[in-house]
Amino acid sequence: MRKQPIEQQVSAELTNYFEHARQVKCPPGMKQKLYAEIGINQSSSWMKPAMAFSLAAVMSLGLLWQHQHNKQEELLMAAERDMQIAMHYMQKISAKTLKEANTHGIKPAIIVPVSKSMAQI
Amino acid sequence: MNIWYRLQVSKNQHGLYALAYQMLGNQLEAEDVVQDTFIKLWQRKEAGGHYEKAWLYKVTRNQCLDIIRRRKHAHEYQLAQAVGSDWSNSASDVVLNEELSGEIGKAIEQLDEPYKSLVVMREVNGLSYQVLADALDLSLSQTKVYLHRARKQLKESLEKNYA
Repeated sequence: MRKQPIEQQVSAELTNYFEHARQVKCPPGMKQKLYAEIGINQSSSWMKPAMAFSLAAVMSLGLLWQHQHNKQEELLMAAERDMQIAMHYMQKISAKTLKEANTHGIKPAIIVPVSKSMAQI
Repeated sequence: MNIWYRLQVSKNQHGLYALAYQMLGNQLEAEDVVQDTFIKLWQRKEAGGHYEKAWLYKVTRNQCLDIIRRRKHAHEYQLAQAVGSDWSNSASDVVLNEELSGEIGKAIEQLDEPYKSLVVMREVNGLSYQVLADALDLSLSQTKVYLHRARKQLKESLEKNYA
């Protein structure tokens, strides 16, 4: 009569016991001691090349960005310069009649550099 | 090589520690055993497939058995010192560990080899029959039979306590 409950109790306790035993974890210090013992640096081998590669990648991206930025700056400065020249001629034109401007070919001298630098941007 | 080795350490450290702790019942000794096992793996630097896993468990188990044997001898020696020549019967008992307590812990500890190792490696480490067979140098059928007997013995011993 009592045999079955005892069996069930034993099975349940065994399951519980093994469940707990499975949760046991090796102390983290073991790994450090082990690597020190056999002479492997914790962050050596694959970590160093990985870090070097990451650094090189970041530096390349930085240089690329810098290059693009400088190029953009140059274009903007050129455009600004052209704009100033254009403004200079515009002021001159405004002082003359349209007929005079066309006769002396000032109009193309304004339009060509401005449109060129704007197109580059 | 290092990556492979680190992978093995990460993959197996907790399982080997659980086995050593169950067998020895002492955290420090279990930690030392696991460390020694991995040092042996480093010296060996070769393995493959499930054989590699079986090898790790085999080495761990053998080291635990050595420690238990040494403990037994020390215990026998202490008893001999204390009781003179009349010590052989009590000294043949398995030396109880300090940390594992409770009926189940004691019942597992009192199982004979290879029953004890089989129960722990199967129930705690969840190793397959094939890995168990390789680790304990048994055939597959022997492994199954022994494991069945071990479970039966364990249950009977516990039921006796509860009855």
